[in-house]
Amino acid sequence: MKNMLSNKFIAIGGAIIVFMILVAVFAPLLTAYDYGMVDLPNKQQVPNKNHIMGTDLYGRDVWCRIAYGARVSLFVSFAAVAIAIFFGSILGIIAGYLKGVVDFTLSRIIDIMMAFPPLLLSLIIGVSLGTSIRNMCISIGVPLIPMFFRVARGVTLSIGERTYVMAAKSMGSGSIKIMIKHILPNVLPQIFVVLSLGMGGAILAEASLGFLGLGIPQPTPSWGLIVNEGKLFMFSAPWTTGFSGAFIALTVLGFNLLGDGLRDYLDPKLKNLEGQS
Amino acid sequence: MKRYILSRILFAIPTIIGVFILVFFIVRLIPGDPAVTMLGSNATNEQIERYREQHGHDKPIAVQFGIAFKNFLKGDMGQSLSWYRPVREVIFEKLPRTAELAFFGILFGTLAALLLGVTAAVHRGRWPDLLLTAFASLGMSLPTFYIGLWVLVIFAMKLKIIPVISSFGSGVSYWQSLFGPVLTMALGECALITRTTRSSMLEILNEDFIRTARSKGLSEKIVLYKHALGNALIPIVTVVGYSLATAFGGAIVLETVFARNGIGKLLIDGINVRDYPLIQGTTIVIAILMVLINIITDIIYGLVDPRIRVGENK
Amino acid sequence: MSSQEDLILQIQNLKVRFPMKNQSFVHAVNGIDLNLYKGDSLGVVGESGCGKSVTFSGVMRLIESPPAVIEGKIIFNNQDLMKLSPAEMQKIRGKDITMIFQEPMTSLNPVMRIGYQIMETLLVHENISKKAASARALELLELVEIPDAAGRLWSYPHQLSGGLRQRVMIAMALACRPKILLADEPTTALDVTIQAQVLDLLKRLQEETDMSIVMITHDLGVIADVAKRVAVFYAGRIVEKASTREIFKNPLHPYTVGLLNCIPTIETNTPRLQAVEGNIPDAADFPPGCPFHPRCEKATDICHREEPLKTTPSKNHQVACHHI
Repeated sequence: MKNMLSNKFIAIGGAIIVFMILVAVFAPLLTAYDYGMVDLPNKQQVPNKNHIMGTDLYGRDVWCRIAYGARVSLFVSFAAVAIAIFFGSILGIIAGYLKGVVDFTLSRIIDIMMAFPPLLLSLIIGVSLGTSIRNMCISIGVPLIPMFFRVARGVTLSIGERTYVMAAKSMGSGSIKIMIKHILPNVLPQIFVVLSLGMGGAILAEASLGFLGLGIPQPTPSWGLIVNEGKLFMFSAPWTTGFSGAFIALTVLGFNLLGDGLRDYLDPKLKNLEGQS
Repeated sequence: MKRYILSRILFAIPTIIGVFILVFFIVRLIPGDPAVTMLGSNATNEQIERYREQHGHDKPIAVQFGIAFKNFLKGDMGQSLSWYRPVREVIFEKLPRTAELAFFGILFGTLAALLLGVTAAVHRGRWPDLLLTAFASLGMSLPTFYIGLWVLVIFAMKLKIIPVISSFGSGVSYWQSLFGPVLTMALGECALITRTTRSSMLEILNEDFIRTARSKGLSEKIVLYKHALGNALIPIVTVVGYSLATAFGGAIVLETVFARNGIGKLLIDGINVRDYPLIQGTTIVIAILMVLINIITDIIYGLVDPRIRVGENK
Repeated sequence: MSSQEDLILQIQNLKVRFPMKNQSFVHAVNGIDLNLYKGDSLGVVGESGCGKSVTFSGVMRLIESPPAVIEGKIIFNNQDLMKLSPAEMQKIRGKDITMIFQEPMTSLNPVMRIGYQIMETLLVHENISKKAASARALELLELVEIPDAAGRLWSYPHQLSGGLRQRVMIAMALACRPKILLADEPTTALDVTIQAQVLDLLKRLQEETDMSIVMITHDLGVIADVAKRVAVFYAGRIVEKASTREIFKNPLHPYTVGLLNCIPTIETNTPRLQAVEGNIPDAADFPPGCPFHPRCEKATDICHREEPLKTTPSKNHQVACHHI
């Protein structure tokens, strides 16, 4: 663990993520306002000592909404990634283990999913399911499935031929048992690396859908929604979108750094290459 | 090489069919009734019935799919409910606006990224590298719309050199209309490609043939840009191709930010008024473009790498 | 043979060290003095890590410095190569002094046709048209005995075998009729039969021109085959230097003796496996005194304390050992 933290990327990225999680968890303690409290006389105030990030069109405290927004955005992103990991890794392991027709069919289906820009796929799934928090998790999660599928399939293919897997096979272990006992433990660390990058992608997707006005609906504040509410006033009152966008970027940066760090850490080949230089 | 190209194209055909099937059914799931959208909420049941019959909506879904697919193969994507014109016509009218945005955005982004990536690799571990790596990490983390909004604030509001609505005509020149969205796309894509260039160059610079190139007395410029970058381009091609393919997706956001009339904005407008044929048509066209760009990327990849182009003949 | 006017390259007290993460240095080369004469063929022998490759990469100025620290003089054509600007050095590198490397499989640029890679050297160093350069490239491929040279001129490296690629490397190195060819383990990565062919080729080319050749190798067999003189490297120093004949007949340094004992000879039926015991010392942490003493059978007190000076027991034979 100590060794792991000596990787700068993991340390910085991890610190950002921990900070965001703390903000989400302790949102009620960190803010003096109610995220939904309308206060029209104080609308669109520039950041001041009462409202450190200003107020929005309805006089609501922006910092308060961002802090509560962290809850929604982080939760939705995490749930989306969980969906993607569940389906992606199960299908990936099955494809990589059984090969042949199963692999071919699953790989073509994944090809079809990858034929869409991820945001477009989220968009049409979101629109067709209707906007709700649950549906948002699905529509953000589905385009992330190929990412996990490919990792799981690749790792499974590479270890499927190893002696201990062959030995387990020859001793008559069932396929499902082999996949769970021998393959899954090898797939998980790689999934872990991609998880972090996937979280970054999910946060961005939630924000972009929100920006387009097709994200998580009112009244629950999500970062995407806050961005969307402020975007029309970017010239006159840029703080709403400005601060919420900065939080989104910082969180994505945290996940990206963490993912990069973990990849370097778990892939010594790459690490050596960087170390040489 | 011919076989290589042929196999790429053959693999794309089932993908395109799959894309059509997926979009067809997803769009059918969208809540609401096209007949109601079309005729308004106070239409009589009789009118609605007749509309459905006319458009084949009363037939089983499988039959509807068959008809739609047959029409699609003929290039007919139906009638737009909001434009009162064939979907194909509307899409092909808007497509050039998106294509030029994607092309210039990726072009400038890539050119800058090659320069920055090589610079970072050459100065690895020292301040230019750290600065550029930080820039790339940040660039990859910023949402496109966020960069776009700040570009608007800076260039449209403060400097007043670009319009707030980036559609040309009415006093806005072609290049002025492109500036904002292209700059935004270039900045975003530049980050990813810079990173790829850097890591690819770092790997190549450790190769033996770089030492050979130096030992021949070539100048450092030639060693870097011809020998090293020439090889580093192979993985870069893939990333640039991917960027170009997803740029049509990114255009959805960018065209909304800059109010630019491309197919991205067309799609969002279509979604807002529940124009099903238009949603279906734009989505399929964007996906097919992505598949085609991926094929072209694979072909270029093959062209750049003689080991694929020429093959082994020991 | 070694008159002063025939002297073309002088390495004087060359030292190279590489910084490590913990502020210390790897001392790769520690005071090399070496002369090279016109038409000379010098064998440089030593285990891997003895600094032989680093020394000659240093001569080519191919070592990135900083981070590496390089001291000493490398005199060629009355000028110190260490003092030349990068641009001036580029004019010598690949023209007057050229180098071929151990790894023919990876030493050619995979995305460039071999003909072009040869032409490139010519176009950089000589005022020559593209057409003339390509004609010369073909001549060079013929010179290095590549079969069907015309058909292979526009091949890519991956289409050629390792032996052929090394011939291309040699052709490239010979393109501008260099004065010095540095061959760094040119045959190590090749099959035994191909090794012999490539060595014969180098020998023939050297004899036909007045080019000097430095053969860097860990294989005394190669030295016996092509070199007139030998320098034995150990821990970044030259421990013994003499004519090839003298080295094989009368090796003085215990390390040279050890190396010679590694070669199975025809006279003794049982292959003698008496290799030099132990490992080369860590270049980051040399033992005090003679760097060879931990592995030396003859080592006495003085070897632990003092680094031996070079002595000259006979003409053209130099050795650094306390026990001569």
